Parts: sequence; C-alpha cells; structure tokens
Amino acid sequence: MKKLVTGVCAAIAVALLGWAFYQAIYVAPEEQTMHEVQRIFYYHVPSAMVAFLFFAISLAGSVAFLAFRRNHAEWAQAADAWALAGAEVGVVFCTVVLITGPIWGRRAWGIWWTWDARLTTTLVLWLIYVSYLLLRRFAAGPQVQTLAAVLGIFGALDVPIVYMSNRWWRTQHPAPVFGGGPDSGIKDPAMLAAFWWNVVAWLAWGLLILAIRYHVERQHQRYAAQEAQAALDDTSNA
Amino acid sequence: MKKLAFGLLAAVPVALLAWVYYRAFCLSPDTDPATILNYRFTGAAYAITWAIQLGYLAWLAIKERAQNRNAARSRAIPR
Repeated sequence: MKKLVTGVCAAIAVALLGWAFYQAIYVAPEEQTMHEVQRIFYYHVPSAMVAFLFFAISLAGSVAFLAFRRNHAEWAQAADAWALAGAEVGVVFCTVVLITGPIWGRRAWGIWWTWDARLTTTLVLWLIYVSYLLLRRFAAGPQVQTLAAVLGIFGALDVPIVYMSNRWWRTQHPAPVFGGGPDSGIKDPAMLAAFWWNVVAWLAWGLLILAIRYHVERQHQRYAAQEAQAALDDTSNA
Repeated sequence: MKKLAFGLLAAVPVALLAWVYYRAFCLSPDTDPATILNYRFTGAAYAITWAIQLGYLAWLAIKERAQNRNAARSRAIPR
C-alpha cells in the first residue's frame, strides 16, 4: 500500500514536471531583452523558493528536536529526521540555484559570478547547510544531533537575509519579481502561468524526495537502535 | 512494476539529453550566433538541474539498498 502511494505520488510529480517543462519551453513567450536564455528563470526561481521552504522545515525540525529531546525521545528522533531531510533536500535545490544562476548571469551580464549581496548570502547559506551535513556525516558522539540542531537554527537565520538582500542593498542581481514594489511582477499571463506551474511541479518533486529521505533516515535510526540494543545484550550476556 | 518505474526514470535523462542536443546543435546554419549561445546555455541549465535532481534520487536509492543489506547481514550473524 505504501509503495503504491509512493508510486502514485511519483507519477503525479513527474507528470507535473513534464507539463511545467512544456509550459516553460513551448508556451511561455520569449522575453524581449534576454530572449531564450530568460527561460532559465522557470527553473532558477522555483528552485530557490523550494530550497527556502525546506530550510524552514529543517528549522522547525531542529527546534522540535531541542524541545522534545529530554521528554519525548521518539518525537525528538522524528523531528531530527525531518531536520536532516529538510537540510539535505534544501542543499540539493540550493545547488541548482547556484549553478543555474551563473549560467544565466554569463549570458545576461557577461560574467559568471559577482560578489554582490544576493549571490554572496546565497553561497553562505549553501555553505552553512553543507557544513551541517558534514557535521552529521563525520562527527560522532551523543551530542551530534544537538549540535546539528543548533547549527540548523543558525543556518536558517540566513534565509530572510538572502530574501531581503536585493531590497536592502544595491545588487547586480535583478530586483525582486514579486513583492518588490509597484513595478514588480510578471505582466504576461502565459509567463506567469509557466512560472507557477514550475513552482507547483518542483514543490511536488521536492516533497516526494523529502518524504523518501525522511523514510530512509527513520529506517537508519531504527537499525542503529537495534544494533545498539544487540550490543548491549551481548555485553550483559558476557 | 519496479522495473517499469526504473525504466521510465532512466528514460528522462536520455530524452532530456536528446532534447538539449537537438536544440543546441541542430539549429539552421544561418542562425544568429547569439541565439545559438542562448539555446545552449538554456539547455545546459535545464540538463544540469535534472542531472542534480536525478543524481540525488539515485544516491538515495543506493543508500537505502545498502542500509537494508547491512541490516539484513547484521541480523544474520549469530550472537
């Protein structure tokens, strides 16, 4: 039953991605100044939105872990699994943002990278969460989950800074598409539809892989607990 | 069912690569060089996005299989 649900969800996500791809490439009109290369927007911006959402999930998981770790061990483990899954899938989407952005920038601005506020804060965000994942992977001991939760909370503080960076400072990066004043927003309805289809599709895909990652981590926790119990039994028998 | 799912998933990068190749390298010879570059950059951005996402999914599948195999092996060892 679980596999069937996963299969149906995967089919929906892939169908949505196919439809969104068609909208972005064949339905949305070509932009007047950047022409064809502007279509990178339909992957770049939704990926950034989904990455921010998953870092928020990681933040919620980290806070919940710190809240429950003393009194509700099982809840704390589930919260920790959400925090890890959110951070890892968030890093995947943030990597997409950091790669598609420079590809677009090279054609639009003539440069791959510039140390402006939006780009730099996004890179810092990515580095913080990569360090979070490295901590989870290579550190050992009973305090790793607590340290990771604290790092996850600090990392999430960068998300609003990234979001506000091109409002607070003058940047090479374009002005915000939404919520950036009276002139912001996508005027063409076909472009707007293509954009929202891509947001929905990448969100569906992201939620699917987030659920898979959570499942894998919960399984890992169960195996680790079983092994620890078996080792304890061996010690007491000896 | 599982094989069909893997087959469909494997078909995505192949179809995408074919699409990128067609858009970037099969343009008419009198196409403006700037337009050709625009098509290539867009194709590269889309292909890299899919490579990252599908690569991560494949890594997750490998990780889960290894995890299950290790658990089964440790259960099989008599204590």
